[in-house]
Amino acid sequence: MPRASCADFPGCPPFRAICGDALGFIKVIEAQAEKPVPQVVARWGEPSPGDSITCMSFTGNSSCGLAVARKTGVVDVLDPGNGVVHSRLHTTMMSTNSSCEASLSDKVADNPVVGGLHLFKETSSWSKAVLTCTQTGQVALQSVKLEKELYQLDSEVWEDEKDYLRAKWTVCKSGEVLCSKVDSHERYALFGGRGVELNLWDIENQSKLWDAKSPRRDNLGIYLQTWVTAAVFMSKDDHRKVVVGSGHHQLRLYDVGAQRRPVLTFDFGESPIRALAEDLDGNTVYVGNGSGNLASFDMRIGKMLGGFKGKCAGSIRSISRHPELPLLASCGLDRYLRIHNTVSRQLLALVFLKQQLGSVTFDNNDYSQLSLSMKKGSDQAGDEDGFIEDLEMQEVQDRSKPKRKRLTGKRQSRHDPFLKTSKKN
Amino acid sequence: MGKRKRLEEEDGHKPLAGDILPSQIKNKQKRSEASAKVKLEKKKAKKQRIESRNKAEKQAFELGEIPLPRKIPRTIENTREVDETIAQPDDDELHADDGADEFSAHFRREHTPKLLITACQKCFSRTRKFIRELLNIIPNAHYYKRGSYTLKQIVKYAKNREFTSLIVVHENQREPNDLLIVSLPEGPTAHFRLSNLVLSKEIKNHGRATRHLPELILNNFTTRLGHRIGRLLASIFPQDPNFHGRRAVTFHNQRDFIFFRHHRYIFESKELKEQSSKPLSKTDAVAPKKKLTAAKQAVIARLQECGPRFTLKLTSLQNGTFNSKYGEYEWIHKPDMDTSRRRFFL
Repeated sequence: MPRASCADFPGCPPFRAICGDALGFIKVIEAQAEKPVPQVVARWGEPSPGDSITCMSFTGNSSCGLAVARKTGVVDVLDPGNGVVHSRLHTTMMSTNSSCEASLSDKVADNPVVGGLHLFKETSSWSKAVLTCTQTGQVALQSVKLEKELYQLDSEVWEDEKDYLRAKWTVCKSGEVLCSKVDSHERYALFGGRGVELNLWDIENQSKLWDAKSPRRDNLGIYLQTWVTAAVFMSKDDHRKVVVGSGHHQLRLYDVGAQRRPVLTFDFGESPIRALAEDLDGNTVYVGNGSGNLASFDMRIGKMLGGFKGKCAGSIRSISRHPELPLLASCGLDRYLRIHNTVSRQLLALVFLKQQLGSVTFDNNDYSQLSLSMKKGSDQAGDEDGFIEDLEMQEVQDRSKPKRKRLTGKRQSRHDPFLKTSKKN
Repeated sequence: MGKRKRLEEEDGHKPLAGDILPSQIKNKQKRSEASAKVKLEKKKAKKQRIESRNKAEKQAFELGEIPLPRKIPRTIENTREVDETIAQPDDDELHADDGADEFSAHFRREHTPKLLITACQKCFSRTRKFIRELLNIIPNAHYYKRGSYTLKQIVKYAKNREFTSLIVVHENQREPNDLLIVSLPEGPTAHFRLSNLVLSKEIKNHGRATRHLPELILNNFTTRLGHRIGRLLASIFPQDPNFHGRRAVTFHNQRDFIFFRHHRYIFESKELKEQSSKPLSKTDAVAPKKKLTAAKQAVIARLQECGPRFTLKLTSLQNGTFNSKYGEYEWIHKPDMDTSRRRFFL
């Protein structure tokens, strides 16, 4: 008899995720309480190779809470609920207006690929603004203009562009910026890339606060070129702990308060690290690399907690942690979106999305709740809470296992770089 | 359900509790006698089954009824695990992706393929013979000695000379065992394991290929990954075959193994023997003479293999050109993927 090896997936708690792909589509994937198998519920955009999505940034509940950077250097600000494009910013325009050196601006015009993107929350001091960083190192802070007439490229709009540009600075003179990140309080920004050491900037004053020192030569005297491929802030409260993934398959923990060289360095796998995501607990990071390995690490001791299994055939380009539930979404060049449980590391669901995927984010707004409550009343909400409670229970149980306990023993305090640094401070 | 159990149910014959199976007999001579007997019986029963089926079909045909549908044997291919990645012809996203990927320029006939073939640094005669045959098969292919260059240097060189693909043959113990196909200038790079190589001289009654552009046949590249591999293989050959040359190159995918064959074909009108037309005249007794004349002019297709033969198995597909250390994989075979015999990726 045919052996059925494809076991049924256990299904997911209700969630909503947004995926951007290489053909310029934005796809919304939803799992509902009564249907635990996630499905594509919406597809926005027209197929065009130039519109390939390079970066994505999502903020909470807002009518324009999703920003998407395309290969052509255009940044679209969308409504994550219905996909209506509210505003369209041009990084190329920014360069034509620039008063800095002509050579640099020419470069930007040639290659305006956006390496990093951040959409500010409405509550922040930069309300409704977008921070973009091109690969050549031009950073711009632009206000989001809400226009009724979209896609208009008249000369007047070009003139107006100046008013929307709030701040502009250059991060590096050479090299290629590959990643940028803004901390949870939206005061500091990180930049790093190929030939660009990690550096931390104050967004308010546009001043460099700190930059990393390149690592020492190894025992053979070989110097590896700097190649930062991914960076995240470890915890929400602290902007000083930064985890960096490098192209030379190294994970590094930097402590901005302590020193310019990494506090902790270790290897993961044998291919370049492509994606990083931080956990809510402030210690764990999730790492994905170019040959499709996904794992979680405890950054206090630099120990691998475990690998995530499940049909990861291609390079992982993006990882996202759900803001409430213990869910982890990852996607990449193998065209699958995978949902894992962060605690048991079990594969919960797998969605084939047809294109090479570049970025994924969880959307924790309650559109489904609204529609459900409109349909069926509040019964469904109770169910959902039950599911979440179950998952939390599981989390608690798993934590009580001896495997996890080992991390909270005496050894932890000995190896904990955080404790050391806090003493210094 | 096991085969034996199924057959027993069909025949209505069940082994009794006291029956001794041939495998339980300890004397070898007696055991072989008994098993030969069982085998003969089985053979007879099968023949009988087929005869009775044919009879029933014939009867149904004569009565103008629709005969019972024949049973389809269960094979590994048709009991394949369900795969959601199978490319559907009506999928708009697939067409959009085809129009935008690295091979789209080739399929739009914007350039003719130009190929660079090279081998590992120190290759032996069998690899050289294999490359010589590849040069005969693939039009516009050029062999370059590998020398002491690294693959990245060769890729750079080939890009500058406007080559569209690069093929590298690697060998192990004087036998070619690896094939690397790099699509230039942007990638992707496919890495195949090469096995079961039979050079054309070793094929009985092989023909010699002409210099005409071949026809290309790609079979069973069904999934999204298979579609991409199929396009990669198609991009090696020119898009406009000389049908006049009657030369066909086949890449046949079966259970993730890609079989390469190279043939010449010919259409011949051949006089058919009278014996073959006899059963026709029996069933259709109205105009036997006419039938005979028609049968004489039947056109048959004849096939001659030119060689070589070999089998490819995909081990990885890399995004971009060759970069084993810092590259990103679109698909890489991992041991934990082999969960079932019925799971295929191409």
